[in-house]
Amino acid sequence: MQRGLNPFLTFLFATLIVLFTGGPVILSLIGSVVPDRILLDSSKALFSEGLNFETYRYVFTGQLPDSYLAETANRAMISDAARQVPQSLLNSGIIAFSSMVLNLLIGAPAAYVFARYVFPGKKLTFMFLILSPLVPAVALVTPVYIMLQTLGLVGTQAGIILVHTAKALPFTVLILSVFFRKMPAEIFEAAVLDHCSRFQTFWRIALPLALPSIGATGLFAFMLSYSEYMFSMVLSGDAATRPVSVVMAALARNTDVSWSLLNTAIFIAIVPTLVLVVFVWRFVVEGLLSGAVKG
Amino acid sequence: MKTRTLFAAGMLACGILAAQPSVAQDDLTLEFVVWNYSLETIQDNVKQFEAANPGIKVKVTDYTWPDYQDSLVLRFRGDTPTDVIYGGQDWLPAWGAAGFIAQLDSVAPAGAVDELKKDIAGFALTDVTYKDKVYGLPYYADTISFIYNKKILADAGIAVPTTWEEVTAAAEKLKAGGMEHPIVYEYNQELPNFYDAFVAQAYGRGAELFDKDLNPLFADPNNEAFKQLQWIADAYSKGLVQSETHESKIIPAMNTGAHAFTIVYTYVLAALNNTADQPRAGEFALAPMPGSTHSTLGFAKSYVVTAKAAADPARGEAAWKFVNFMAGKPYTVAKRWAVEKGLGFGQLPLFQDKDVIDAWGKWADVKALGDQAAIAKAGTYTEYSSVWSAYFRPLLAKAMVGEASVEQTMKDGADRWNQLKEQFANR
Repeated sequence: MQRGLNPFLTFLFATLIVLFTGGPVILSLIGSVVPDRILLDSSKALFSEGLNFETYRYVFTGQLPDSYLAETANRAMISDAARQVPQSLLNSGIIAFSSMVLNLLIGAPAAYVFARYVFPGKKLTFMFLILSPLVPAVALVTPVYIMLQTLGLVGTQAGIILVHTAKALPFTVLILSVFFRKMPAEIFEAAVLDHCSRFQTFWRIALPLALPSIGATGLFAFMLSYSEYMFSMVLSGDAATRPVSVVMAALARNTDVSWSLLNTAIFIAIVPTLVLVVFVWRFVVEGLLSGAVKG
Repeated sequence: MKTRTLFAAGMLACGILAAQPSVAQDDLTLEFVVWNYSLETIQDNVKQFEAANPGIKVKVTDYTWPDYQDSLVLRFRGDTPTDVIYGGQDWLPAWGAAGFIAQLDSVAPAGAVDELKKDIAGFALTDVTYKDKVYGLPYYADTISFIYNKKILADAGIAVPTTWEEVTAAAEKLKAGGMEHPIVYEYNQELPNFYDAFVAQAYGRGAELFDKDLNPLFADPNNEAFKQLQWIADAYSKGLVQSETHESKIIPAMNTGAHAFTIVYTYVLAALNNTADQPRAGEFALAPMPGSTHSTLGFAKSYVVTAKAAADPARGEAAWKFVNFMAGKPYTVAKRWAVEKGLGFGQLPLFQDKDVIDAWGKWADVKALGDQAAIAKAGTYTEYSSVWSAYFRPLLAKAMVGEASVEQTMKDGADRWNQLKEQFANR
């Protein structure tokens, strides 16, 4: 006998999930439009002075909030790291997109070879690739840094892109190889009969069929790169190349930053992620699941 | 066509990887590594230096404050070009012992450092000195202050306390008048500040925590540090103290009007009196640290030249010019930090500077600050002091709230110090 879900419990759990996931976003939005003097004064209502967008103005134009123009105001609370947020979003986009492209360029052929061909050392190399994410990232910071320093890539976006690509590659290969393995062998046999070379079989047959999974895996690589902090922090050079994860850490870990400004930076940083999640998350999940269960 | 597109994409990726910033051939470029406080001001100072010193460029790289020390050590270990850095008093001995940094005399013209030393506050000079050699010039210096609420004390008819016993009496009077916890205290064993604030209080009493051979003295019950820990434990047991985990929480707590006293870095006073966001701004002031000497703890962050830069004469000379521009006479950059950002300084003549007095007078008594800086003392920093501090802070925390005896805490702290001292001596 199949029992339906209790509507009350469903509503309760859905509300809890929305509170935990959406709550911080809403709080940062509110915090960003309420001046510090109201936020820190429990005797005043939150919107007693209406909405205030001066911290947004500061982030995009550099013009100080009016309250910080007063002679006795402590201007050190207005951290100029907040002004790096828009540029850092662009940097993160470039780094994550490049990492995604490289991941697919390297990972899709590798996954195809692992899935469809037998070669010496296949099992060993596949296990090495798949198990490599188990090594704690913090243990790799020093060797990776020294290696990239030798290559002259410390302080460049290219260095970060390489590391992010390497971090996401095991997942790309694993997910896509599962998908390629599930493809019917008859398709490839037919391609061989039609005189397709190995590359043509991959390029013209396997790849088009795997597009949903490739799209999903690519987006997964994009998100891994977009949110990565440790290597980005160590390898990024200056504000011109720095991704948003590092800028946000700089702001959030600085206890002297104005609360309103911090919330503004958080909200600006969240918006592109929210848009990305809303538009592509369903696609990501469906793509990953289709790779996992097809056949 | 599609194959060509793929090839083009590959070439594009290779192009991205090969892209490197280009630098003019004739310019010497100094690599300046900082933590990311007020980068726009740093960049502007750098621009002014470059304009005044044709042929020398400065590339600024910054890290977040919590990651700064680790990132810098990684740069040293990775042989990443690094010429001038922000240094800290607690890191200097380890960096000096490791050979990462250079004494300033090795890059400065003869007598230049000695001339500048005359103007540097005692605690700041100690903090930039390792094995009797000066390794840096102050970028930023501050002291720990005893801060009180003027209005609360005036309303209650209480004079500003000058000894810790008077602080107890004032707090007890306020508590009797309905204030639940007159003292708010930054109580967080994870933070170096926690130990620093304790040392500052002990210095107020005239304590010496170590002798000249770095033997610990504080386990003696007659030592003023021992007495101060006992004082804190007593204040907690009497219910006079409220703990807060960070200075950023002390600021709003003091601004509720529910507390009259606190002990924090002086820059917190600027935040307490910040009219932009604090409802009781203007009510707070600093008093000399209670005790017989009124001394306190001071610290200095500094501009330091790396050993690698010093090893190359041209680079070393450029590095000195840069450090001297940022922290040397006529102290233009140090003054700018003070006036525009409220940063403390180690160059004593700036306490008499009109612009500094005008800017700082809005949130502090500049003369009192200058007097405090003149008598402040540096902490004791060795290669092992950060390891020891991490061990000792939890013990201190327990003793303060009565979970361990003061006597046992001080004995354990002294034993561990001696142990580490011996270990490092035998390395």
